[in-house]
Amino acid sequence: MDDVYKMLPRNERLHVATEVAHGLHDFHSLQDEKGRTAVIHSDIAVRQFLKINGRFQLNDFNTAKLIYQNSETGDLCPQYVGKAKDKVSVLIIVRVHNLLSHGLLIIIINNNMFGTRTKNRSPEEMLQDHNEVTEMIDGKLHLEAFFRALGSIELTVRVLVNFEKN
Amino acid sequence: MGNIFYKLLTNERKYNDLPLKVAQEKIKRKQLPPLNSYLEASNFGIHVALKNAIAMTLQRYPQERKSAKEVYEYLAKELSKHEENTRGTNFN
Repeated sequence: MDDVYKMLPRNERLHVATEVAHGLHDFHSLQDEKGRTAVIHSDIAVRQFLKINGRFQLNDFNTAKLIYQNSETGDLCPQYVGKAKDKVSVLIIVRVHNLLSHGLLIIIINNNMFGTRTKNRSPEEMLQDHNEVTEMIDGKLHLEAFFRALGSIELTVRVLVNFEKN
Repeated sequence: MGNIFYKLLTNERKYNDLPLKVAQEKIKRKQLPPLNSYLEASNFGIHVALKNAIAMTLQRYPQERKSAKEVYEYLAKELSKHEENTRGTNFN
């Protein structure tokens, strides 16, 4: 994007700045039940915005961090990289502006939201860690709250549910 | 986000010519290199909007920084004002 910037006519720059702020606002719209931002990108830079179909779009979520708080204890939820070992896990793969070159995988278990870094893995590859897909038993309320938060923003969400039986 | 706005305004990276450690310290303290005298004094709408957006995002203390939502709303309003003005200019 650096080179693209230099070629931008002066009149276009305000437009690009607005798109940059819009992308970040969309991302920060992922919130907890109290309306607080639940996720931060951690690597906002010129290179993270790609020009696609004439628009600058936020990309690269592999260093994103969850700052979601446990609604019962108030503690920050931990970030896991790898396999979740609880009984129930819900995998939500979030595409921001339809991009998933690097993804952020969010797992909600009871009151906790866990995040993993996906490092250029496809949704199908990410699912290989979670073999048994059966039926929903728990976590439904939290999922609904999560979707309410997502409902107002420009995200395409792909949901994959995985329940591991003991 | 402020760094990107700075680049859009000046065509320069903020700390391009500084050693890494010095740049990191300045980033922590949210210290901006001064704008050149032309940009500093400019009242041109786009320059003013970008200068304000930089100021909204690069406050040292988090509680003083504006959220991405506030910055987006401000810029969207400025953009729409700018587009309206431009349209008016074209018709005249």
